[in-house]
Formats: sequence, C-alpha cells, structure tokens
Amino acid sequence: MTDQVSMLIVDDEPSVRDPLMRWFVPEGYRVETAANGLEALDKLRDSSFDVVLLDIKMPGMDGIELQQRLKEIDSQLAIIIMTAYATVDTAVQAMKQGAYDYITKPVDPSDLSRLVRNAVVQRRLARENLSLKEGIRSLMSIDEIVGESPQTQEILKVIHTVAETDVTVMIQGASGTGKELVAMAIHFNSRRRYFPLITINCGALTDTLVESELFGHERGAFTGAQYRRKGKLELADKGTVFLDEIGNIGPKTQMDLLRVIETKRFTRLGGNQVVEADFRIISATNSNLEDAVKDGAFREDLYYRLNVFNIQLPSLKERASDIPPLVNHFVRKFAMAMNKPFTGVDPQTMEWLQQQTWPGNVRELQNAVERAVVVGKPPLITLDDIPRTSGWRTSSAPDEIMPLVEVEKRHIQLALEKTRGNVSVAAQLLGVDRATIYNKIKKYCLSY
Amino acid sequence: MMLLVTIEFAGEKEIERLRDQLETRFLTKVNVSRPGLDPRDFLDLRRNQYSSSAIVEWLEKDLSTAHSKVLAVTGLDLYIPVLTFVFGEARLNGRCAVVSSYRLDNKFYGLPDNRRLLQDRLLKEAIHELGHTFGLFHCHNPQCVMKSSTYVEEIDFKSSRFCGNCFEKLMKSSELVERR
Repeated sequence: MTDQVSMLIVDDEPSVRDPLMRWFVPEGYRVETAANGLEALDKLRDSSFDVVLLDIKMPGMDGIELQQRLKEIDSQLAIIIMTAYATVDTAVQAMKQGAYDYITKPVDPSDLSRLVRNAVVQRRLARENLSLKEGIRSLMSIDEIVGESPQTQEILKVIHTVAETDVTVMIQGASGTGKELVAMAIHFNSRRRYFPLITINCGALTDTLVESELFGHERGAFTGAQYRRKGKLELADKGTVFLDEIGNIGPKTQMDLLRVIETKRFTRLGGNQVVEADFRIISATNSNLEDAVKDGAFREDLYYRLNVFNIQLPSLKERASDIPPLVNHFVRKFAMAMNKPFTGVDPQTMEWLQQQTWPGNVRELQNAVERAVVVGKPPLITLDDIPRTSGWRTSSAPDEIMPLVEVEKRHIQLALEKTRGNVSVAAQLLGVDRATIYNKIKKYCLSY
Repeated sequence: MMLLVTIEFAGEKEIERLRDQLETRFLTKVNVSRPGLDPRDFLDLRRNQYSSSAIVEWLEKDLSTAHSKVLAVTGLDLYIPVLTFVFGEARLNGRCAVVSSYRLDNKFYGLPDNRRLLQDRLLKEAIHELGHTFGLFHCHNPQCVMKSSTYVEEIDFKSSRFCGNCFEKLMKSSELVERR
C-alpha cells in the first residue's frame, strides 16, 4: 500500500489498547486509540481511518451501538469487532450492521495481521471505486450540451427521460449539430454509465470492415486476420454502442444487425461460437433514412428497431440564441487548455458571429473559436481573430487566386451539394474513397 | 553499548553465542546480565503466559541507563492481550526489547530438537526487535530480517541481515552515527 494505513483501536482497557497499538505501529500504520465510544466518535470526526478494531464490551456505549454510529460518519469504514465472549447473536448483529469481521480474543497474530490487511485493501478498493465513479460522472455531464434556447432545453429534457430507459435511440441532425455529444449524454446519464460506450463510425468503413468492427473476427477469417479480435458489440457488453452514420451500412450488415438487436447473440466473422452481449444501441444519421427506406436502400424493419425513440437536433441557425453561450463556453474551454487568459468575445464580434449561418453547425463554430484563441491576444476575441479561410461569407472573383486548401474545401462542398449529400457518389465523382470524403467533411466542417 | 538480560533462559552457550553475534552485527560491546528476577510478576495465570509489555516496562524502569539498548532473552511464552502469543516486543525508537525462544524451539511443535536452528531463529528475532528500537518498521522484503513473522517458517525463510533500505535507515539512526 502506497499511502499510510490508519487505524483506530477502541477498547476500555489500556492493557489491551497500548500493546495492540505497539504491535501495529511497526507495520508503519498510523495508530490512534480511544478508551470509549465518545472518544472514538470524536477521533473519527477529526480524522479519517481505514480500519477500526473495536471491543464489543465497553461501559456506556457498547461496540454494537458504536459500530452503527461510526458507520453513520463513514459508511466505508472497515470495522473489526473484537470480543472475548463470542455469541452467535452478537456476531450476527455486528455483521448485519456492516462489520468487516468479528474475532474472538485471543486471536492468532497471523490471522489478525491478514484480516487487517484484507480489510484495508477492501476499504481502499471501495474508495477507489467511488472515486472512479465520481470521475466518470464529472467527465461527462449534461453541462457539455450548452444552450439556452427552447430547442436545447427540450433536448436536455428528452435526454434525461430517455437515459433512464433502455430503448434504442436514433439521433437525426445535420453534420456538426452534436449527435455524438447527445449520445454520450444519454449513455453517461443511464444505468450503463459505468460500462463502455463504444462508437462505430459506419460511414468511414467499408461493409466488410463494419462487419468486422461490429462482430469481431476469428483468426484467419480473412487475409490479414492474424489474431482473434473481439468486436465492438462484444466490447460494449453492459454498455452502449453508438452507431454513427448508420445510413451507410450495407444490406448484409443491416440484416446481421437486425438479428443481433433482436437476439443479442452473434458470431464473430469466420467463427461458430455464439457470443452473447447485453448492450444498448444509439444510432445517428444526417441523412433522411425514411427516404432510404422508401428507396429500399435501408431495411424498414431495422429502421423501426433502431428508431424506437427519435431525437431531432436543430441546426445552429435554427437556435441562433445559443450562439453566445456556445461561444463563451468554447472560449473558456480553449483558453484554459491553452493557458491564455481570454475572458470572452468583444460585443461587435459576438454580434457578427450570431449573424452567420454556420452550415457546419456547432462543430464549425467550435473550430472557429479554437483558431481565434490560438491567434488572438487576450483578454477578448475580436473579428480579426476569426479566420478568413473559413470561406462561408467571402465571395471571390472568378480569376482570384485562392489558397489550395480553400479550393479543395469549396470543391468538395460543391460535389456534396450536387449529389445532394450522397457521400458515396461524391467520392466516386472526386475519384477518392468514402473515408477520405468523411475526413474532409470533418476537417472543413462541411455540410451535406 | 548493549545489554543482554536473561529471564528464565537456560541456554548459557546460546546466550554467549548470541552476544558474540550481536557484537559483530551492531559493532558494539554487548554485556550479559542474569538478574534472577521472579517472572511471576509478568505471569497471567489464566493464560499461563507472560506479558511481553510488562517485561519491557520493567526493563525500562528498573535497569540503569548505562546501556543504549537492552534486550531481554527469555524461555517463557510471551503474549499481549489480544493475541495468542508474540515472539517478542520492542519499543519503536526506544531502548528496550524482549524476545522469547519458547516458540522458536522445535520442541514446541513436537519436532526433533535442533539447537542450531533455534540459535539461528533467536538471532533473527533478536536483531528484528533491536531493529525496532533503532526506529525500523517492518519491511516488505521477504528476505530482510525486519520482515514481520507470525510463523517460525517465516523466520526461517528470511535472513538475519537487513536489506539495503533498512540498513541505510539503521546507519542514519543517531546512535550508530555517533558511535561511528
């Protein structure tokens, strides 16, 4: 144990307390003693202890009553009851009230030593568990979803409601509206929050890769499969699977996914062994899946299975009143990360930011603020700090020479507009793979 | 200078040998005293065992302070109230300690007599308790003499030497520094 173990010995007889203290001190423990219940309670109020050795028979407050009172102060305290007079009744009572163990004096030194060590380990594990849970809770709270508009408030209410259930959720909204953030908020406010949240970007993977990602594979299932690999569904056991860009999965994967949602059983690629996993599914898409269902590109039965609860995320333009709190949130976040003492944005710049349409939605706004914090001089972000290469409201003359990055960005945006947001077709036209287009969409905060 | 005090300990040769060993290990003169005191002052009739704490208290009060460390060696079975027995007891950073050969002797376990093993165990526990008087805590190194032992097998497993860390702390201990 890396930090010092602290112990409280409670016994009315100094001939018991003092030798016991002298026996434990050479272990490196911090040992204190108390002659009665009141003294013990005072000690616990002033200091914390890992373990208490408590005599059951004491004048005034006996060990059983004291144990209860000690637990009220520190419910994680490891209490070992000592008695020279073992009775079943007192033993049962002590254990029912949460004693770690119960020993009859005199006890073998090795037994007491081991008992105390194990009690301390258990206490430390319980505290660590509590601390980790607190950490998880603080990592992702609903505070990450910023906004005062009626739409945002409604979304927050919906998240709270749906998080308490286990229904499948489909989140729909344009690129950059915060679908992943909402999925995280649902997971971390659900009973599954201490278990994994596994994200699969179905858009960035080919059909075979999506299958392998979802179900895993056995060794030799395909070329390059040198080892058995667990799939994301297996890794998400007891947790949540977030399927981003669900509209991009192929027919075979749709069929397999439907079966898995219904049975919670599957086999790895190339394998026969049935794997069982308990997970919740949250999916997201920025395309119109109803149209895809009508066109036969997406299975209707899978659609209804995934869409038990639907959350529509508005574009940033539709909730423009959220722009100031979002901007202030991003300024705080990036200023802290970069250790720059920004206090906010000057009023003129904020007004300008509110007037923009933000086709890339919150992600685009976030990127713009981040870049402004990089180049700007504290304490306020000004218009000069907003990057000119963002390009949404600059128009250029036909023969103007633009940076190559800007050219690429505009051309990809054009391809997406021409193909009505069909990433596969746009990729084909541009002569690149789908994954490349998705990466560029993220990089340039394009809408599609 | 150290003092070895025998209390109901029959082994003359063992004591002489222990004295020599302690002189070598602690680089100091070790005297031997056989006060012939009545051990009934330390006896618990109900348990038929002798209080190690009472013995150490007597050593602290009743012996002169000419010696920097005092170790009582006894053949009596020692105890502290909560435990069934102890091999010894020492005052951490104090002057006095006691060690018992009673449960170090193979005869207690119904095994064949082994004087050499008894001497070895006695040396280890003597050094262990004296180590506490120099401020050393129990050590996690299973080979170190300061490793806590609740069974004789654990005593047999460890060495009679301090590990590097404990030795360094021992050297830093003021008494030994002054002596150097």
